[in-house]
Amino acid sequence: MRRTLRLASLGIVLLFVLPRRAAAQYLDPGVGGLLVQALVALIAAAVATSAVYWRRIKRIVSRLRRRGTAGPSEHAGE
Amino acid sequence: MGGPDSILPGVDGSFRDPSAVVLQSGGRVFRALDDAAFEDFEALVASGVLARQVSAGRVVATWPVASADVPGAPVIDRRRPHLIEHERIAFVSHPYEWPFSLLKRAAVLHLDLHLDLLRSGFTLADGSAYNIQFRGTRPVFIDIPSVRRYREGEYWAGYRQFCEQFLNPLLLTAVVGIPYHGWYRGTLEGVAVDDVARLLPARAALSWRVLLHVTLHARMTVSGQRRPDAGLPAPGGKHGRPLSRAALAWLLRGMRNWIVGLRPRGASASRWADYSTRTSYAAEEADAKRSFVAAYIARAAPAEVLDLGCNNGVYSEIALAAGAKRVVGLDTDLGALEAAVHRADARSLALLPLVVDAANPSPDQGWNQRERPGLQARATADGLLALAFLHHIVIGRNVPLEQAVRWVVGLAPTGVLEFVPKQDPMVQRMLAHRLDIFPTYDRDSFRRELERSAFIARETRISSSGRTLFEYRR
Repeated sequence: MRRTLRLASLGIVLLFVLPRRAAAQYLDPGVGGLLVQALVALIAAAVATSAVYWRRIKRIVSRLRRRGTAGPSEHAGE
Repeated sequence: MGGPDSILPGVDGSFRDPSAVVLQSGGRVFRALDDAAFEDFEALVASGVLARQVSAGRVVATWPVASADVPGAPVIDRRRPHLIEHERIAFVSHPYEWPFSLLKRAAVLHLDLHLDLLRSGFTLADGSAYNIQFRGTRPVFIDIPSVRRYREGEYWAGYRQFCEQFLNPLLLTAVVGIPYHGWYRGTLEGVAVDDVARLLPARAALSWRVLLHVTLHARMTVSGQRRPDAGLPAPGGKHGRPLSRAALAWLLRGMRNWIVGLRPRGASASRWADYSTRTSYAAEEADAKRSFVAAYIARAAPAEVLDLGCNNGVYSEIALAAGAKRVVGLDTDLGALEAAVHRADARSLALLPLVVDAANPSPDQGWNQRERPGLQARATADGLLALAFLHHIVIGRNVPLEQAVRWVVGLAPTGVLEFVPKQDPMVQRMLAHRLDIFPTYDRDSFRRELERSAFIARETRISSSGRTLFEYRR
């Protein structure tokens, strides 16, 4: 829980950094409400990062496959 | 409220957001905005989003006005120099009076609106159910100044409030099977997340939605409150992780899809059908009642009718067909109210069915006991139906007959009251297991009490048991 709190506290800073009316909310967002959103932000970032890596892995695999399928056809041509 | 610079004081429920205060003058509704709030409003108008939402019926019509156009031409408040006007909502209702399906559709409207705003570069500052009102059974968003320009990465400050005022009450009924109305009315702010977390069965946390929005939300709230310094870093500290627009949209969409699927626990669609057939009187009696009500409406021509004990809305519909502009129906039977909502939807009726106990109606409450006005303070009806109703509070709740009649007649200047005698099977059932302490409960006493408060325009006996309809005028 302590770790979650620390993780989530990162996101909360943003509320203070945001300009104008967004920075001066009249409503108390509640610590729990902010932490849930910080968790969602974290998961969203993790998903986005893993999507980037997944695309890279897919590219490498398809490149390897292409190389693999290109091999026999070259032999067939001989 | 209302410093030396302002002439019109803000309405009692409008103090939370000092950047936009609601004013009333000459029966019209205005808001005084500060510079920042007015900039947001102008941006919203320029984007075309407001016009689109208004024409879709999701948002109340709103336009800028000059002080000279406001009745009484008030002096401009220097802190809030800009004025906008809203279309007036006929009857203001509170979330704790809404049947399940109305709270649910208000929640869905809030989320749909937020998603649409987000696509156009706006967001909602809060998640308050009091920002929704109803036209018939159609919800409409009324708090335009809570629409603000969206800043990439920002968190939704209204998330906790949305959970407390929409999601948690709905879960209380849908998952635990407890109606939320009494609780909601007690707190005004809805149902706290740690309360609902304690009530939900452990198996409910198997759903990732419950896990995120309830279980984790409650844990984080409690640990945040226990260690207030640990959770909130000082401004200018380490950079936080921004909540991307896509992630916020995902959060909103997830809640929307969840809420759309919620049903009151233990209730089924087939239950509605029971109410249309569950009548304790014969067909000719029902015909006599229908024509009496229709004739009353045609003669008195009321704009707004209060239907006490509206049940499934059958007589509300007759009143509307006979020319009433709108009906506010009150009942305590949640199943019957759902049937009334269903009827209003199916036939596009201007009927708003609400959960209100006449023997304990919504009180004046909130800050200074004026923030959320009670039923009587809001009742502006000029017509009234109280059919098969009074015996429920006189016999069922021991309210003295004279008080019951006086209270009902005080709600509207004209109306129809039905007297149900002791011989009637309905009253017999109510007296089956209790002492009959009502020696003066009879038609003559009823008539006498009614004559003390009003003029009886018409009286018709409609059943062999002695049920009688009275039309009164004050």
